[in-house]
Amino acid sequence: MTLLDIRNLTLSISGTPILRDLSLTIAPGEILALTGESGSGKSMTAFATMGLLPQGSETTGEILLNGTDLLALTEPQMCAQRGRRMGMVFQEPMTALNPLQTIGQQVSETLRLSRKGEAAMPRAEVKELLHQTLTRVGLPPDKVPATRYPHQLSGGQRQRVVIAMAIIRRPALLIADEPTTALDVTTQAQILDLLRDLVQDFGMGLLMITHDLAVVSQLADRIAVMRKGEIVEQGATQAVFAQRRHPYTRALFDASRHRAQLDEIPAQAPLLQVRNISRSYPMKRPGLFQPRPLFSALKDVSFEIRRGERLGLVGESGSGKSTLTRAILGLDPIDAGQITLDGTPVSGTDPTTRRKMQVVFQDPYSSFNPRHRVARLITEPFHLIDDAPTGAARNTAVAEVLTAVGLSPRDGDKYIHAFSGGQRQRIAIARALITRPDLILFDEAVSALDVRVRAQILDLIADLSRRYGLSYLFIGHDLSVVRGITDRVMVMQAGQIVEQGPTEQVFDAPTHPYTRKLIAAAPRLPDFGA
Amino acid sequence: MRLSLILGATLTTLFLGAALLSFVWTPYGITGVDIAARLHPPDMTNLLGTDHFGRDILSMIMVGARTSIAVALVAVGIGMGLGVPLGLAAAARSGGLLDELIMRGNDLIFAFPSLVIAILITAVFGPGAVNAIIAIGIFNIPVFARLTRGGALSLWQRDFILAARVAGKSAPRISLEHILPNLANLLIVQGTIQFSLGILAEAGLSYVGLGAQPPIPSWGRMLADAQTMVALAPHVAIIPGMAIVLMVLGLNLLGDGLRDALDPRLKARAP
Repeated sequence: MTLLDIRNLTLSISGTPILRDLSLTIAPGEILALTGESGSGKSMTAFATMGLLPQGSETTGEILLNGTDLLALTEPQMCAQRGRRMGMVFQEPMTALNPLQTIGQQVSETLRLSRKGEAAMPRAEVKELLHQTLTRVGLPPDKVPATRYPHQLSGGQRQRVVIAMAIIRRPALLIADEPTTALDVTTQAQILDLLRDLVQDFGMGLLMITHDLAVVSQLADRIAVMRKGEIVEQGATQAVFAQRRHPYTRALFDASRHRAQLDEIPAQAPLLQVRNISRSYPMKRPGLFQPRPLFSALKDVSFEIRRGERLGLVGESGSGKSTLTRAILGLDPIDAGQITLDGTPVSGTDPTTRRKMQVVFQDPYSSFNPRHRVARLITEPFHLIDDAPTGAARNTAVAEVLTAVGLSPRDGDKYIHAFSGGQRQRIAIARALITRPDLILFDEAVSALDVRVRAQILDLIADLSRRYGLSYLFIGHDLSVVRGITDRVMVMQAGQIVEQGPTEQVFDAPTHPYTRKLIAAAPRLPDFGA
Repeated sequence: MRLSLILGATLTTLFLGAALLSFVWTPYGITGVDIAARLHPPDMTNLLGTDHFGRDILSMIMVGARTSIAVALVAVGIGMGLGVPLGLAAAARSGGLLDELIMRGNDLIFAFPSLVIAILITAVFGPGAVNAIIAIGIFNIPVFARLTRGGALSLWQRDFILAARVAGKSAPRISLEHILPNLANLLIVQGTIQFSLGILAEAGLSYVGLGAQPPIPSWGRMLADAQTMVALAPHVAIIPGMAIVLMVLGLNLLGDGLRDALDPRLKARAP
């Protein structure tokens, strides 16, 4: 018996083909993972099923839910299906919740809706069901009252609220679109456990959309790999992973486990020294005349990076990674301690130390001024150099760094919107390289990229460090990525560095309980051999 | 191309063209009083008729457009020229003393009803086009300062600004090089809308006799002069009224059209 049966679904939006001849099935109590890179049509498959396609969409084929063809239903009929027969969990829990309504109101909303020819559910019953559902998703009302607002909850708790909204009517089908991508690893593990339990208890079918193969391997019964609007391979998770018959599946799998080639480096003099730095922010006053309490973002942090060394920094959101990055770059002041680069203190204004240090940010789409050409964008750090090259020498410098990051010198004349996310990240690296810095900070620099692009950028970073003798600080939340690109790693928790040491040693034999918790929570790809 | 953009651009060009043409040619002189030919309805000799002194209304509308546009344009110029730098400075020092000073100063100006203050200024310094320009211009400053600060604040959070700071650029330089060009769309659109409000304000001031002084024609005073004769010769009141309405409508349509045309998000949504 099948619950969801998509047959030969073809979708085009304003004439652009999005999905081609897509077929998949989900049985009750089964978890199907739909995976692929961005733009492959994963989310559109979910939206087609929920009937939430944008204007100008044309579909052919059938989407059968318990035998009803959803594509043939009118909008009012679809409304009856949504919430009751199928529910959806979104990626970003903060934007999926209305900030002005309590979580109780939002979760019970679908119960309070009454349709034609159907009486509204009595209040007592609504309350009882709300209580049950919130308790079921791990938010017991005696600990987390239903009268709370979304901003009073943590990211994980918010995602539990979104899940509660989706399951309160006990839908037969649950669609989860990247439900854990915005969450920290330890929270991700809890949410995945919750989803798995819910599927078992309620006998729901779960269509799980994710780009993370490690998550797939832990959760899904079956997997469908999508590429450019088509399913290239599907089957039982274990079998697909073990055999990897389609070349694309193999490429995705290899890229997910990719490790850059790092050469041994001889021990050298320290380059960046961070000594006992602290930073705290004032918080809201608890009362009108009470002093503002201080939030310590960095507590007595000390470490050093040697010349040529590749250091990693991991930790969950709010652990102080970003504050530390900004402090090192001299963008924010520090309260105590000292940061020196090559022996000279780092301050916000000194251009000679500044030029030895550059940064690559996470989001390739907001890192560039859209109104400038690439050549102008990447020469911006020349501002730090008194005798910056001009004219032909400047063009040579631009051509050189563009070639170094694997682009063509001709790309300097284009605008940034002509480039993909991966290419933009290469341009960001070119911008960081142009002053020939000794140290580059990579702030989550590959987190927004697809696995195959990510693997290429990691190779590029390793290659550049080899060629230019570059040191870097690689900040990330994905442990497997950090493991593959660093010699030494630091683990940060609540503004403190709780553990540091050679990467392999820290990952294989963690000593601090927090490190152990992080490593245990991180989903891992099973090793099926090469 | 959207209809509103085309219609707005056509109306605006029409009035701008008439104003420019009036510098070199008008059908009749605007000072030529001919009592015998007063209050003629529109015909072939006077396309829009004549007023109570027998002056040609078409000629007066053309010269009046010149006054209205000049006053509104300079007033918008004052608002942009002072408001935008203030807004940029406030955003660059967000939360600091300078920001507080600028924004509270803005609040102060906002707190006064603009037309009443304009009347006060012209009452103290005497009526005339220059004082009308200053009065309208002052009230444009906080509009542009607020708009610029709001837009700039969100831009300051973007990574490319952070990258420019890492490159050691100073806040004024970042404001000019990165922030201002990204606010251009916003400012152009607001500029058109303030322009149309300036036309209305000028008409209002000259209606109560505080704008340009006779014999320089202005739409507001033409309307005021005509009100006793509405029953006798309605065209004398209707024509300057229509001129104001069409000019303001044209500028608002142009502003809306420009916003849609310049905003890439709205463009993507258009069919």
